[in-house]
Amino acid sequence: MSRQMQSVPDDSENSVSTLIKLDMALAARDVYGAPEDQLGPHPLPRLLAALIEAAHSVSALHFTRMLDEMLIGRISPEMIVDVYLPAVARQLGEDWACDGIRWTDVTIGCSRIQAALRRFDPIWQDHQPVGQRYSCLVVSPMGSQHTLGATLLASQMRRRGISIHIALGIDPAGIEGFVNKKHYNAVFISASASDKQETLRDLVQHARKKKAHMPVLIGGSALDEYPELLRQTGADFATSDLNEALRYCGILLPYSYAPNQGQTWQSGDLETSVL
Amino acid sequence: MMSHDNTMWSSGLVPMIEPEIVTEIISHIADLALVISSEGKVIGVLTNPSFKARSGLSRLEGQTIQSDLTGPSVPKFNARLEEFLQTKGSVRPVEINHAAKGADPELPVRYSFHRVGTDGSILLLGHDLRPIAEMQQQLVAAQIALERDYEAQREYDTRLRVLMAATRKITLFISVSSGEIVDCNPGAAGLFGKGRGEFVGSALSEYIAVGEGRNLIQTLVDAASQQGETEVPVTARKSERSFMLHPTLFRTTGAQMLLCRMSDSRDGDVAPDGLRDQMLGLFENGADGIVFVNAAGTILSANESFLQLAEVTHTQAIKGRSVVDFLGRGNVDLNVIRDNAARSGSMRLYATRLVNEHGGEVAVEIATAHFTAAGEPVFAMVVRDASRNETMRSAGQQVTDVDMRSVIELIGSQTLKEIVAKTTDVIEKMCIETAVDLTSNNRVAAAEMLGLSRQSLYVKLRKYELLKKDAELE
Repeated sequence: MSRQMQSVPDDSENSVSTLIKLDMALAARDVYGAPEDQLGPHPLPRLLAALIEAAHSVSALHFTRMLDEMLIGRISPEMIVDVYLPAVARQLGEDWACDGIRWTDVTIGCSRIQAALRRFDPIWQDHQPVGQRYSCLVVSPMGSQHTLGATLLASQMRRRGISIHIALGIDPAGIEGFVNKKHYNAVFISASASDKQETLRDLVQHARKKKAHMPVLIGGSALDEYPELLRQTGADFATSDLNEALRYCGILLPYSYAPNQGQTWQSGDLETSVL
Repeated sequence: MMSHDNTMWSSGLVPMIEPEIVTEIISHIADLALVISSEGKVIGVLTNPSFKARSGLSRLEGQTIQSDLTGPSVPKFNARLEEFLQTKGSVRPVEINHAAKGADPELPVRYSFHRVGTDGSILLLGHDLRPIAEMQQQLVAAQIALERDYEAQREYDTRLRVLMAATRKITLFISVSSGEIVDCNPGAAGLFGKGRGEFVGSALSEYIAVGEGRNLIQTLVDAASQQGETEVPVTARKSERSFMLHPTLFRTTGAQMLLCRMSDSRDGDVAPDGLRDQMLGLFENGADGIVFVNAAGTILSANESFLQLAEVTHTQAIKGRSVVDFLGRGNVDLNVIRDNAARSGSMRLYATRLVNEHGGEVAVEIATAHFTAAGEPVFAMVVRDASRNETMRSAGQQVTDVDMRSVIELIGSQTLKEIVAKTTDVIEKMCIETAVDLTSNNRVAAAEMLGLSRQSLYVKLRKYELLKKDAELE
């Protein structure tokens, strides 16, 4: 037994350690062996910890290699985008809140996650029908400290077959211009704790200035900071659960995306909080 | 230089520093220094001479530091202060924001905690984080600019995708240097019996030959370089079918690329008797609903009669949706129709219900044909309203059933419990017979329709002697 333990090579230099590869292999085996209803969107703890470390490591390659290894280890792109990347973003935020990492680390980590989202985009695109039924505007307010929440949300909505127009760092006049020029089924405002309530209220008011019937939803970490955000901003609905938000807007999507790579998740299984 | 954790300094080396010099040192090693009580009350404020302090910092004296912080910073500061008071060693510095006051914006500061005496007072050495915050804002601005560029690129990508999907001619982008297929429209891969993922990235010469001893890519480049519209006759390697390739040479990001549009050599001979127009007329004006779906069940097109049955206002609202949305038994119906039609080329009179956009149901009969169009498998469904026939047919089946009569005869001779058990058997048998009938004796589909495993279905077929009946028929 002890000889076996010693024979495990020290591969701390590599992007994914042997232990994590073992985790992934076991998870893949469980996925293919287990009935569907027993699967859940839970990240592998060791893998998640390594991914968080890679997100703000000196070399950007470390993070991209980790993602490559995860795909090879049969962790699906949906699982990465819906479960791992939001978990990494949340942990970066929590680590910063307790001064475990610097603000610049959070920024670097977030930009790497955004780059990863762009990388997965073509996969969803290839599986989408050309004429999409629903169209939504996703915005982050002007002066936001980061734009990850909005881009992550946009990526998840695009994968569900919704045509998304994303507008980052937008002011009230900007949102009014977009809403007047195009037809959207709903406007989603991604708000963080550092966004001012007055700014958010102005965005909501200008979004529905000429289209009072169009739902304006607000979500994100601002909801944790300001429990009264819905009343204070005058938005129609406040949530950080995408499925709940889509149900509110009457956007009902038959689940159609199921690439033959790793496990696939029913859209209703995913409880994410990335608005 | 000492590490953060190692605070040991050889006692002989510690210099005796006069109190007024200590003040000067502190004011130079930090941008901002506060002496506070254990509750956070500010006892003294000291700023670096080069620190462009905002107005009113000195007025903090006598107030609590918490009263000057932003909302999210207060609990963060309190937690770190509590930790510092409870531990004898050092704690990590805390990054907090002083709230905006009047014309002064928020002031982000990193404070480290230090004990300065026995009276419990604490020295906070603050480092101005505004330069880092400014850099942060620049990074965010760069990120937003990047996302905007990417959004514009996405728009072009979508337009190209729509154009490619709408183009009836097979269209391929080929890299001149590698000879690989870089992109193609949806029909291209199917034409050669490949999935798109497998087709893109493979060499064009694997599928097409241009003639003995000739290099395909060089021939295409030569043809594209000539003036005027040129076409190259090619042959599919597997089917030996002849095509014409119309190459266009262009350069992108420094590399040469070929756009190849492919047409059938037999083009122009199609429908000399006007069949195409006649079929189009039938589709547009036919009394029965006609809907074309692909192998995944996605609606490719539907005629006006189908839109009326489905109560959908416009063709665009239905294209790209799954036909499953409109079938009473959803995926089960689609699987039965698709499997049977794919196996034998067509399926006649499949009875089900069509669910319209508003949830209403109507009995329909669906006749399906399976064929390949533009290299992709297509299922054409002719949907006929069967609501008039349905009442007669179902009533006849139920009332005259021999088994049902035999159950009624049991009243008086057996207990209610026993009769109910027999009735269950009768209903079970009827359901199995109907499912087997609906699926043209496809037992896999019948089992799926009934929500049974194949094994359970066989057990029940045997139990009701339905297997035996089959054998006799054969």
